[in-house]
Amino acid sequence: MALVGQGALILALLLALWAIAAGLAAATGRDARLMRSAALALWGILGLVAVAVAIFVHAIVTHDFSFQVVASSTSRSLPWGYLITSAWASQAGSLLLWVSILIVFSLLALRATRQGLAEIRPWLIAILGAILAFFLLLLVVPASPFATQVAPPDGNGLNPALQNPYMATHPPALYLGYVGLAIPFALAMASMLAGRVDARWVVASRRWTLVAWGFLGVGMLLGSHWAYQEIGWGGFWAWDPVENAALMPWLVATAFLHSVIVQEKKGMLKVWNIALIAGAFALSIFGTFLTRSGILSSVHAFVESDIGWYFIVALILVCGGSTLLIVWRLPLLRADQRIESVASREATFLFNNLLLVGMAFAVLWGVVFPLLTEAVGRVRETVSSPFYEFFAIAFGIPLLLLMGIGPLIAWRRASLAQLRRSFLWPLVAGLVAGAAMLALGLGSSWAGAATGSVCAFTAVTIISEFVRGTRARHSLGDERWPTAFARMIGKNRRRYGGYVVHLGIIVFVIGAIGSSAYESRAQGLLERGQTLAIGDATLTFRGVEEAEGPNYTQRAAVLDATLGGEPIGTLAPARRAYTREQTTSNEVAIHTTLSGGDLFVILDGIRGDGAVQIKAFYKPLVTLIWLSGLIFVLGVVLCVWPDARERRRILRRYAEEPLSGEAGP
Amino acid sequence: MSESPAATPEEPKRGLRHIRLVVALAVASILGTFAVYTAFADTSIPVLGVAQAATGYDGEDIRLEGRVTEATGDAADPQGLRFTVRDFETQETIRVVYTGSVPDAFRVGREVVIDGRLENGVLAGTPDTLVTKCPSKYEEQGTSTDPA
Amino acid sequence: MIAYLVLAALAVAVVVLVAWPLARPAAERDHLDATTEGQRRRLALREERDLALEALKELELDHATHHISDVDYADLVQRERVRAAEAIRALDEELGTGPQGAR
Repeated sequence: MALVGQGALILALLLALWAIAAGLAAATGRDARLMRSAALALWGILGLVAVAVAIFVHAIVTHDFSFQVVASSTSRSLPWGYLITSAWASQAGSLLLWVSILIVFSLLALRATRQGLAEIRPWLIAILGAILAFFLLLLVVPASPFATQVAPPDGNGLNPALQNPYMATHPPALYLGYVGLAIPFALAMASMLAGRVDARWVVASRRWTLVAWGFLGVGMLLGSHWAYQEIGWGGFWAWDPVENAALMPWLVATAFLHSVIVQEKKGMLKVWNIALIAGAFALSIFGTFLTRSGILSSVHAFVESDIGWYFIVALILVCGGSTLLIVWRLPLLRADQRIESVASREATFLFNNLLLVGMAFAVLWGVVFPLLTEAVGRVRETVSSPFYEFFAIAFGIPLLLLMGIGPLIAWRRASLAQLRRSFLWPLVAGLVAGAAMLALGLGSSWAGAATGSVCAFTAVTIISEFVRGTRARHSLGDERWPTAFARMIGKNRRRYGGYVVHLGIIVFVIGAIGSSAYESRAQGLLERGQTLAIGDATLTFRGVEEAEGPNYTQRAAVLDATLGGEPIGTLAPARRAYTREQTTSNEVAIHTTLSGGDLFVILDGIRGDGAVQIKAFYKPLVTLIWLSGLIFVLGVVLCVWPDARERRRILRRYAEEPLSGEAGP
Repeated sequence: MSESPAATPEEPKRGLRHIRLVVALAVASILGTFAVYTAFADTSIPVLGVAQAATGYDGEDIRLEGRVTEATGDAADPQGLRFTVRDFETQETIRVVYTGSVPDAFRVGREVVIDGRLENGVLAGTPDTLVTKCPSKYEEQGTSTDPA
Repeated sequence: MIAYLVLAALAVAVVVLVAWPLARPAAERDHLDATTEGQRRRLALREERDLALEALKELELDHATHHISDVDYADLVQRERVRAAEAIRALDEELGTGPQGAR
């Protein structure tokens, strides 16, 4: 069976190479037959990858430990659900997931070129073929899921940290994001190659970018929630290379989503947009690479790793190729218009882009810093949280501010009198919020107080946008308030969807600031009956309880908790010993209060005489972080929802100007 | 195509120079923030193997990497966790005293990374910085989801 | 052995699949036309026209929600109208039709 799987992947690789060759030949020789053949090659890849996935999953489910990957990441005692999620716990398995998603996305993207983009199709197939070929090559040579061995009686088991329901959602969401960014990249490059520099590729790729970006965002948040609940050190984001890996493309894609609006509305920033999407894709490859290896820990790890060089070559090809392409097409990419005023919406978009890219660059700098210092012959050095937090604050606060300023400023230019009127109430709100925070003694963290006021300013702006829009519609016709509200959003989905996402970001920032800048913590060794106080909460140790799980034994410290003098029940942080995996894991206990804060308790150790080492945090407002995810998703869905009006307009434009091959296969 | 007849002729020109200046200033301030911070904030610490750390880093904050050879006590101990790490290549060792969370995967034989200050050849670990590195049997795990 | 047979069958299927469109000789309709310089220009003009029309709609919303003053609104609307009109005129010239040809 392993042989069939490996063979299917090799055939898929050959098909991908054929798709490149036939796509290029079709594009240069203008031959529709070759293009159809190349497109069919993609369908063939779909079939072959499906065969490979089926064999791989079958091996996992039937405990076929002659597959090296199966033996190294599962065991007979592993619960059924985690057998499935273990499919992407291994390097080979996750690359297989990458390819599976990519081939499905590729075929969908190909469909999306039917209106007004048919001429880029052969180029598109060639580029998608190249990306597919790269990942299939990885699967065939250095990271095969079908490497075999003499089957051991049982597998090594799955890392307990990965035995968590989040494994079913977090990695796939991230992969959908990483892979999704390949599509706008391919659309952009194919359009450049075909000499189509109009905004059609932007329209076609916008939704892809939004979806990919949405998945990346949700994936990161799920990962944070997982880390928060499962890893249990009391935080949700550690600026770890693997987390940063997803953050970088997300930041650049955020910049892209904003700057394409400027291209669509004003015909500006064309080169910048292509550079951004190429950058976002390059970072998504870089991110995949980071996630899949501990490579950045040192130059040695890198040189010795199997897949390092493959990724370096891929990154060079993506960056170099897109740069060459932009330079080649530069004469066609002239801007139609120019920015007229600093006080214009296009200018705020530009500043937002500079900040987002600056932030992504700072993160990238931090991630590669160990390698850089080593490369220049110094002792390897590393940066940690303070470095990243500085830039998150230094670039993040202006970004939040722009989020509030942007919607109030009109395109082209805004007059001073208008600005004064628009900004009065948001400014008042910001100042009042700042003063209130200082009065409540929250000035202990200046960054917290500053961010709080900016959040108030921006939130008021956004809410006033909804109010003004509804009022305008209401006063125009005889619509009732709810109808006016719904119609306003319905007619301008992208704008108001964007505002909803902005609200989500604000909620996230408030949660992040509240739970980090204003957390209280305490720790201590508790004997039976002793009490630990954290803020206005207390924990009283009652005793240790033991329990047996399917593949572990557990010892929990039972603690009676009170908050503000009122009992709020028992909390039982625990340590689990996994028998097969021979590791322990920390099970934190969390109590969420009505005000959205968490009492977060970790059992650090149990002494021989039964005393327990307890660490506890009180994290105000932390629930807002998870709530922001729901708002974010709502906003993204609003933006992504098909816009019939835009579709009609594009249909009309291309009906007037029939392009070649529009009726293609 | 850039100017429409409705605009007064000199106005966009002036505005244009203005916006270029502001954008240039914005870029400069972002780069400046970055350059100044990375140059002066001194946020980086050296990452050292055990043999390297033994060569004159006494009294400095470092990040130490090595393999655990013996360990006594745990986080529940008043004296904290005491363990010894050995260099990956040589036989040199450094003793570590540490309080704070001990990762699930910590045990003798594991590769660990820990921040702290080297004092008289003993590393006083910074609380909650102990991280275990990729045990080879799990490809996926590593420092990835632990606090860095 | 069975594995090799299955693989051989898969290989044959794959070759047949991609060779299928190439099996018959090329016909006239198998030629992919490249977009001409003229098409590209006209497409750009249509895009320009649509952008200006869209901008007018957005201006209306911005004005209704008091983001722009009446003076600015009048000026900007005028400019977008000129922009749309210019694009339509240029399009007509391209197509060699008179003003009546503008949709």
